[in-house]
Amino acid sequence: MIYVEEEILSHPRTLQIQSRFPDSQVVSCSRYGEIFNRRAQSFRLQKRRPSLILARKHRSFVHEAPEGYGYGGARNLYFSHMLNCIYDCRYCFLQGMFRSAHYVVFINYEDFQWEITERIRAAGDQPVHFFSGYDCDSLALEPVTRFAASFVPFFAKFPQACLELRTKSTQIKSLLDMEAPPNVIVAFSFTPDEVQRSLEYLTPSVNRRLRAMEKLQERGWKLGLRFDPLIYNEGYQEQYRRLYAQVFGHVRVDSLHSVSLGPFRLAPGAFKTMARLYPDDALFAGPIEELEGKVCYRGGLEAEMVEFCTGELLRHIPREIFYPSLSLAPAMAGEG
Amino acid sequence: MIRFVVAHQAEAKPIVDRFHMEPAGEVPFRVFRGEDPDLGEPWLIVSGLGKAAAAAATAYLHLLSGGRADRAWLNVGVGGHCQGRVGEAFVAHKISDPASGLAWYPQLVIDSPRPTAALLTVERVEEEYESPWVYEMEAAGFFPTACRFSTIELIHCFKVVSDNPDTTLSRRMSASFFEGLIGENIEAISELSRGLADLAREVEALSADPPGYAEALEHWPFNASQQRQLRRLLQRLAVLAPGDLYGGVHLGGIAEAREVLRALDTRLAAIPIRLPEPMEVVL
Repeated sequence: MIYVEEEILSHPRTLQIQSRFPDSQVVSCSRYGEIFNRRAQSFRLQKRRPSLILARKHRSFVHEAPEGYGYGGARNLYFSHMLNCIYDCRYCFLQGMFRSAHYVVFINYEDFQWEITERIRAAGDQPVHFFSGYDCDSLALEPVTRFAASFVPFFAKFPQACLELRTKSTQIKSLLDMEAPPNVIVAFSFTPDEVQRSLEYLTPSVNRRLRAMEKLQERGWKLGLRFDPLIYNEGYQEQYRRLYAQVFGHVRVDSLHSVSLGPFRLAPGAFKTMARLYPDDALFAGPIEELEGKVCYRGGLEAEMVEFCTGELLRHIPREIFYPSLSLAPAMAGEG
Repeated sequence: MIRFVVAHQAEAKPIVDRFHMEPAGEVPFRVFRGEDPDLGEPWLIVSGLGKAAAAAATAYLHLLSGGRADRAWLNVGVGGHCQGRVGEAFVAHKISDPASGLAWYPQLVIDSPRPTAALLTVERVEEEYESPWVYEMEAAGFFPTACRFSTIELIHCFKVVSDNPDTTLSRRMSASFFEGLIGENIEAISELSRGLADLAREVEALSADPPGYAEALEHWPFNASQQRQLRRLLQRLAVLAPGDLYGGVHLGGIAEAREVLRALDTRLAAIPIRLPEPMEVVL
C-alpha cells in the first residue's frame, strides 16, 4: 500500500517512486497526518507491515541539531527527507517518538535544497554541517528515493558546507556512480556482531557494512564511524575490542573524517514508550535508570563503558578525529 | 478477542451461526456472544441502519463486553459498487464521510482475505454509483468510535457488494439475500477475524501482569507507586530469569513492601545481561 497526498499525485518524483512498486495499491489522502502518527496507533503492530507515504513538506525544512552533536566549532543542522526507518533497531528512539511505523518520504527535495542554500548563505564564512540521518537512515531506501543522488551533487556546490549521510545500509550504488565530493561524509554506525544480530533487526551485518565502506574508500569517499549507542551486555569489552579490530582491518584511518562514540541514553518519555512496546526485550530489562532527566545505564556502568571503548578506539585512531558524544541527543536513526 | 458490528439481523445470522453465538441482550440493541477456540469470546451487535446507529452500537458493545482496550473490531455489511459483482467482498483501506468531509484509513498489518477498496459512507441508500467505492451506510460511524476503544490496526470493515448498476436496488432485496451474501463470504470473514484475534492477543500480552505480580499483591500492601515498581521489576525478571524469578531470594520473611522491591532489585542486579541469540540475519 502506498499513500500519496492528492496534491503530489502527478509529481515526477511521486511517479518515479511509485514505478518501483508496480503491484502496490495507491491510496490518495489529503495530508499525510491523516494516516501518520494519529492517536491510537501501535508502532509495534505497524512494524509488521509498514506502508510508504509520499508527502510534501510545507515548512521547517532544516532544524538545529541537538546540543553535543557534530564536530568542533561548526554550526550543526539537520534535515529529514524521510520519517522512520526500514530497519528495526530495538534501541532506536524513533519507536518512542512516532506512533506510526510507516515510512514518510517528502518528495519536494528542491524546497529542502532552497532552505539549505539560505542557511549556508546566512552563515557567511562560518562552516555549517548538515546531518540527514536523524529521523531516518540516510541511504537505506536510496534505490527508491534517490535522495543521495540528488543531495550529494547539490552539496558539492557548497564547499563551505558539509553533509553527513548516516547509515547502516549497504545501498551505496548511487554514491559509487558519482565523484566523491570532499565535503560529503558517509558515516556508518556499528555495534558488535552480537548486538547487531540481537537488536538490529533487518540490518546488514557488520561485515557487509564494512565491505560497503571498503568500496567507498577505494573511490575516495570520506568516511565516518559511529559507535553509538554503546550497548551493555555480558562480555561487552571483548565484543567491542573485537569490533574495533574487525572495523580497522577494513577501514584505513586516512580515509576517516571522524569517529564518534556515544552511550545509550534516552529521554524518559521515549524510554517508557519503548519499554511498553517491548516489555519482553532484554535491552529494556537491563541495568538502566532514570537520572537527571535522562535514562541511561546505571551506577558507574556508563562511565566505565565510555572509558573502556574510548581507550580501545584510541589504540586505532588519532585523537584529532575522535568526537565523543555525551549529550542526551537521541541516537540518530542512521544509528538505530 | 473480537467484536462484530452489523447493521441487519440478516447480516448477523451467518456470523452468529458460524461462531455458535447465543443471544446476550435484546435492548437497546440485539447482542450475541459466543465461545470459540480461535476468537476467544466473540461478541456481535446488530446496530440498525446508518452511521449514528453504528457509532452508538459500537460504544454500547464496548461497555457491555467489558470495556477492554485490546480487542479487535470488525464491521461486516453490504454496499453498492459501480463495478463489483454482487457477492464480491472488500476489506476497507479508506473510509470517507462526505457529510463531514473526514476520512479514515484502516491499517491492515495482516494478510487480507479479499482485495481492499475505499468505502463511502452515505446518509441515504444510493442508486447511482459514480466512483469505484463501496457505497455503504455504517463505516464512518463505526470506525472512529471503535478507534476510541482500541488501536487502529485491530479495527476493520468487511463489505460485500449487494448491488451494482446491473442489479435491482438493495432496499428491495430480501433478508435471505443479505444473509446469503454474508454466508458466501463467511470463510473470508473467519480468516480475517482469526488474524485480528491473534493480533489482539499480542496487544493483550503487552499489558498483561508479569508472573508473580498477583501473588505479590496478595502478600504485601504495595501502594500505587510501589505497584508500578513491582510490575516493572517482575517484567524485567521474567525476561532475564524466566522460570526462576526469585533465584534463591526468600521473600517469605519480609514484612514490608519496600523491602520486597529492594530484594527484587538486588536479585536483578546479580543477573548477567545476555542478549538473546536472534532471529533472521540479513546477509
